[in-house]
Amino acid sequence: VLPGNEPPLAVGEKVVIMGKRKGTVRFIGETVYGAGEWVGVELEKPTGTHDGFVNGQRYFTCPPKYGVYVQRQGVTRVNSSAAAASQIQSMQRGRKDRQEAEFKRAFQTWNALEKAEENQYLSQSVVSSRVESLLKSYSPGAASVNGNSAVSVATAAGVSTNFSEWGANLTVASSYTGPHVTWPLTLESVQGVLNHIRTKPDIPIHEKYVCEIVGRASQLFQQRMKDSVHDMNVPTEEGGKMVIVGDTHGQLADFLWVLKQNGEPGPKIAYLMNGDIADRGDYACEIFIIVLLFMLLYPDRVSINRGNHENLEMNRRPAEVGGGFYEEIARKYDAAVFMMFQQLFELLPLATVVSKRVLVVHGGLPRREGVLIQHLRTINRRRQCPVSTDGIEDALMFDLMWADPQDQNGIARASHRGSNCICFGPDVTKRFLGTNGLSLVIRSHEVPENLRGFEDRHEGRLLTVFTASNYCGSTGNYGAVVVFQADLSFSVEEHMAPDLEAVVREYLPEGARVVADLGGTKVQMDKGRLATNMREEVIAKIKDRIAMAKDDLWWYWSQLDRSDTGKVTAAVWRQGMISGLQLDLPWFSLQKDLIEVDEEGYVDYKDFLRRSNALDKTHSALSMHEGWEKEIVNRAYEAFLAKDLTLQQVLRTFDADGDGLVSAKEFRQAIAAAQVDLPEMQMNAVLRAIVPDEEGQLRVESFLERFQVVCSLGDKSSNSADKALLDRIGRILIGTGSRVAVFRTMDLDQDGYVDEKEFLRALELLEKGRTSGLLSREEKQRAWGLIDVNKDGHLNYLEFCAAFKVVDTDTTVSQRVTNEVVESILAVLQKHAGTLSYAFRYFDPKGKGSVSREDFKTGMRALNASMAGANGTGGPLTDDQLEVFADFVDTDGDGNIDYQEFLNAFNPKKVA
Amino acid sequence: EDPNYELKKKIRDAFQVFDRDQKGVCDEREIGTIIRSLNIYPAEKQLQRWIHEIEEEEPTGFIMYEKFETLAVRLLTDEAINHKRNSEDEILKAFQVLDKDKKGYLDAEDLQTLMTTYGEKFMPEEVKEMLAAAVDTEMGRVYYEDYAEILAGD
Repeated sequence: VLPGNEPPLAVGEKVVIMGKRKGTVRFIGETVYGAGEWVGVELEKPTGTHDGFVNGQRYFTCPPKYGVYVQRQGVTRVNSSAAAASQIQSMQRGRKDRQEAEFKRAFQTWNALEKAEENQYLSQSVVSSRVESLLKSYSPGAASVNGNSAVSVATAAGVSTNFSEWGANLTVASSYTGPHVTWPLTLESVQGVLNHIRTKPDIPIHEKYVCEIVGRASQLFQQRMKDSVHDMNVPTEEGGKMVIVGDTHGQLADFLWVLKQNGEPGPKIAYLMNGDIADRGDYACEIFIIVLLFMLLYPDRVSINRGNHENLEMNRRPAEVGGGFYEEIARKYDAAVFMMFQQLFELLPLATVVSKRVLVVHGGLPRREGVLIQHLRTINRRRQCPVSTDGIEDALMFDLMWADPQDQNGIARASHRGSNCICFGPDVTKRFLGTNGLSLVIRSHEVPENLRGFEDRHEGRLLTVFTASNYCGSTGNYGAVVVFQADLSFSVEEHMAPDLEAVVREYLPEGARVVADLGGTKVQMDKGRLATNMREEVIAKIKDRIAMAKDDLWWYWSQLDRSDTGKVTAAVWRQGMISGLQLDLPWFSLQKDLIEVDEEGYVDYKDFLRRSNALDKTHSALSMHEGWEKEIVNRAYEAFLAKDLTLQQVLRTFDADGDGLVSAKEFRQAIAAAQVDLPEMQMNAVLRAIVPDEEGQLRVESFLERFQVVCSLGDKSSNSADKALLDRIGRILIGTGSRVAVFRTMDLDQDGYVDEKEFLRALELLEKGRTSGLLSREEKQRAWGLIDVNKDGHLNYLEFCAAFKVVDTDTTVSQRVTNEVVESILAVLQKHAGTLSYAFRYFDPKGKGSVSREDFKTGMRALNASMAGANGTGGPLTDDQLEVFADFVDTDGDGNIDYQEFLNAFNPKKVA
Repeated sequence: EDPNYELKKKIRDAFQVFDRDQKGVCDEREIGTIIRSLNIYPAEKQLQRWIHEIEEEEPTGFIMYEKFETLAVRLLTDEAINHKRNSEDEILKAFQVLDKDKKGYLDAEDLQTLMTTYGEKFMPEEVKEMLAAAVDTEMGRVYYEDYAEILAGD
């Protein structure tokens, strides 16, 4: 089968040079160009350098640019096995490397996005605290449940701060079939729980026992931890060891796998969990229970360091954006249990020194120079991790939880984690270890870039260990633990955990087992498939963010799109993505999955934004009556019409040639000049919807005249003349903000009613200053006849004023406007769902998940106001619209609003 | 306006995947992967020449971005034709050269021998990877018509 030896090469044969260029041999022999045998080739294409004449020598002749000289070994015969093999090898290597790079990039992007999600939590906290101070001024009487520490929050929620009482009030019904925990704790009892979790992980153990375990563990931490750094030793008994476990993030299969491989905690086997047990995965609670039970049994042998995910507000975020522990506990138990865990978290050490030589910490080293372990000990840990790094102590705590290593010396801002996070270099690690007489730092916090479970950096002084394998079911990384022997020598044990079902089967009684040898399951991950999955996940998340940042993006691109073509260059598009989404991702490689670049290198951003909708996802989930959209938009139109006259005037000044047309940009300027009382983002949304793209210009008259004012009072079957009359009255009414005030002055006895005479006078007053659309006395009298429906000569003017609504007669445009405006409002609410939740909890100390309609409005108003400060664009809704919104959210009309359900509608959905 | 602006952006994006701290430097052992990820398909010998061309006068084992960019722009413009990916048809013909008996397939063992004996020989790890992707596990054969399509495709 295999080709045999081939005859020597001859002049005239077809050859391939270095597996690429083809040609014909014209010369073979020695040359002046160098030692050995040379071949002169006339190429098939003019990709050569000469015509056979080089360095004053000619060995053959061919047309210019068709000639090359190469050494014999660089040439293979066409159709020879060697040439064919070279070609296939080149293609195969190319494919492999392309996949490799693709995979690496997919992971990097995925990872950057994941870090950005965590960072969102940090920036959200800043908005939340702004909202909270607003709430304090709006509603000083309300009992705040938000605070710096879980203790204050728990106290407000009615959870006792006496740990030994936790669970005491709960009883276990005889119908409970799960394991029991008895005190004083026995190994048998602990094994019972472990076996239960190993075989029935989806049946939670009884709430009473969870409360007792968390309570007693909190007590133990409180008693033994005089300060914020714990000290542990590797057991010195024969065969003693310590297992250091990195992030597990609720991935129970990984933790059970580690226990299986390394043995359960005991007198000879110590375990140190290096934080981030909570969030993301579904079984953080079970991992905590196992670890805490063993800790209560062997206090010196087991401990947990705090991670950035052992934190109240982080845990409250939905799993899809980095949180999930609250959801998990709420699913299995209730808010009180969650608050107990939070109190435990605030007692966990911020770092642990092992055998006086190794520092184990979740994130990294402090940015500040000369920090001693002694300083870390004095940090007040009984609080939430600070989000600001302005104070010295805050920065110390923050860095221990959040910092990442880098290869460069010094301290740098971490580009993906966000403004306050830092990266520290090898020099920082070296100095810190030297100053403190330590020899190694072990930290966790991130999936190592090499996708192994560990990575040693900083000349071997720093080791990252991450235990959750195939993190989030996406990245295909290995997990690992570090195992120390008594002499402080250590090894790293890597694993790829089987899925939880396979692990469970392993522990089921004999006969039920299916997988005989789990040790053989070394999953070979298909990089191509993993890359595609990660990429799809990334694109879906980016699309979510685009929908939320639509207004910022539109603003950025339209500013640079000077002649309003609706197009920008791909480079500007990418800049806009960085700026609008606040995400520094490899946009060049992402752009092909998001947008089409035309031959001139331009992209149609208007079309891009039109296609980016949060609406279909969040909207259908909103349990609100459909009518709210129209109501909200009517309020928006009203804002335009209220400035009817001013707008017309301003627009006329822009329309110099009097052709009735202005550009979209001029229209925007006119709206600003007329001071239309509408949040800027709604204004932008209206603009996006009404400007016809084809012409790029707007007919001034038609914009304002399209609106019709209708009155819901009066004769429903009135003829068109009557309708026109009511429209004119409506315009007069809406064109002044003081219409109710005018009527109030007419209504001398303040009973809420006016009669015909007073009505006529009120209209006259409102007409003052108008030059067009004035009504004759006769018309006003006719209007009275239409409005005074029951002919009793009295008119409730409040009802009368409220009865006028603005509608858009152009239903196509109207539908577009409605979509855009509603979309922009929903996007803001989605973006700030976390902050809103924080605001509503201000009024809901017990965590019932509902607030009164008034408190709901106050919470929304605080969000509105907090945004006004940030960039001057104001919040998403006007006060008027807020009323409408609250009415519609209060679906059962009982005056209470289930805000939890409301906010759930804004959670990003899991990507399938 | 640099006519190669977008091209350079593409090159930078490819380079940065291997430039961990975004310092504009990367390990020379990664250069081959970066070049191939840009859809350039050189022979190994050619690759070594390019690396030699862009390394520092005193080689450090690291390649600076600026020099890499100059090379990559050249490879993707003027010299693009020399190093492009072969078409499915061309790859198929190469397989046919190796399939002396015109069976339409190669036995896995034969492919392994060919790839480690001829041309720019595969290392054991490389050949393992190729076999994992190319061999029809039931028959132990490489139906190269399908595989040529894979190599030529995305």
